[in-house]
Amino acid sequence: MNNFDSRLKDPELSPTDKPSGGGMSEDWWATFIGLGLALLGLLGFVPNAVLW
Amino acid sequence: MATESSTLPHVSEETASKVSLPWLAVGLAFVLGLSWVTRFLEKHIPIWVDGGWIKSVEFPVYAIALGLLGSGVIGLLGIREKVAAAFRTEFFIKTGIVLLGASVHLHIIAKAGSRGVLQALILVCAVFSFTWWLAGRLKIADTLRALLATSVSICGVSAAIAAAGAVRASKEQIAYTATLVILFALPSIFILPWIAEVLGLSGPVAGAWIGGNIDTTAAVAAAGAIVGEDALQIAAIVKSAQNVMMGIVAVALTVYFTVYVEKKQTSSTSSVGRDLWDRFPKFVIGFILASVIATLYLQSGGDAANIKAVNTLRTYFLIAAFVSIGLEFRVTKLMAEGWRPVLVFGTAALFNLVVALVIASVLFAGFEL
Repeated sequence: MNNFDSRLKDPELSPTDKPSGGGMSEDWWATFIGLGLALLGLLGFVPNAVLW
Repeated sequence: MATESSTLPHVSEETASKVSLPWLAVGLAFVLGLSWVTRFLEKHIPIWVDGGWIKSVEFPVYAIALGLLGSGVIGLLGIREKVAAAFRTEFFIKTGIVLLGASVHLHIIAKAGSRGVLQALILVCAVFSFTWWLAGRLKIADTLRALLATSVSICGVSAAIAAAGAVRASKEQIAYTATLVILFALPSIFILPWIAEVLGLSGPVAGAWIGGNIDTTAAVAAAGAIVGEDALQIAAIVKSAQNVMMGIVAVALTVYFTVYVEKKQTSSTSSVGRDLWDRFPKFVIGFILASVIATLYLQSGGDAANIKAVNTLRTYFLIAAFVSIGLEFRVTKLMAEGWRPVLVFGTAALFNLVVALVIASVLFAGFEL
């Protein structure tokens, strides 16, 4: 195994630590919720009480 | 290749099966409670403390500190594993990045002419390449290497999360990178305006230099404001131009890791196109869409106050993300990474300072808003 290959190894991950990113659901959820909130904000539908 | 789960992404199937809704609710309440305290401190400490450096301390610092404190509490209570599913750092930050798009106004970037965009392009390419090269020389894992290079060259934690999706970095690597970004951003708020004054830089040059150096957008605004109004405006424009680069770099990293690194590791024969799509951080699409929508909104006479409302919503998500980073932070995991990433980040930050100063001095000499 050369140096380059050894660099490819990630530090040991615990069982709950799946690599981040790439998850279709989470990415799309973030996209839809983010865009939805952005539209609500731009249309003035976010109550002032929330924006403290 | 795909690592998708329709219910609880990024939580292993074994763990997902153990998640109970009541504990998930407890965990979420814990995150939201700490987020509320963070917001409260961010708003009130500058009022309580009249003057001094503490006024410029931003929410990431309070959020991570409270998260660390909370981590100790749930550790003592022995409920960490039960509530951990609620610590959705990536989801919070990804949503925050989509909302960040609404503050990237393409017509303002265009108005600044080619200077801001050109500086961002040259600087991001130079700093990314240098950091990538240096981290490679020090044999840092390619995933962490990508996070360090994107965070120091573009816009800190947001860019690191975008890169993390493309290269599939671990949570520890994200936490490590976020910590470095914050540690370096804090002193920069005061040191850069001071150096700008010592060097006698004009407002636009100082702003371009600050915008090209400090990684967190809020810290850029704080440092720019210390120098003056011209500096603040140019710093914000340069920073926005760099933020746009986040999407481009995310695509480039996706292609590089799919076509080169991943194939080399696994000798997989699966479809490259499919792999590219699986890896691609889809929330970047939301970021770009939000930017286009906000630009059209403002150009059609929309109320700028509503953009501020969206920015506040973004802050809420980022606070929750930083609280989660603190809650998930495990020193032992970070120790395993050693001192090399700190050396890389510090050296890259210095490189960024020098290169940005040269570019800003050339591109913004004699520039007036």
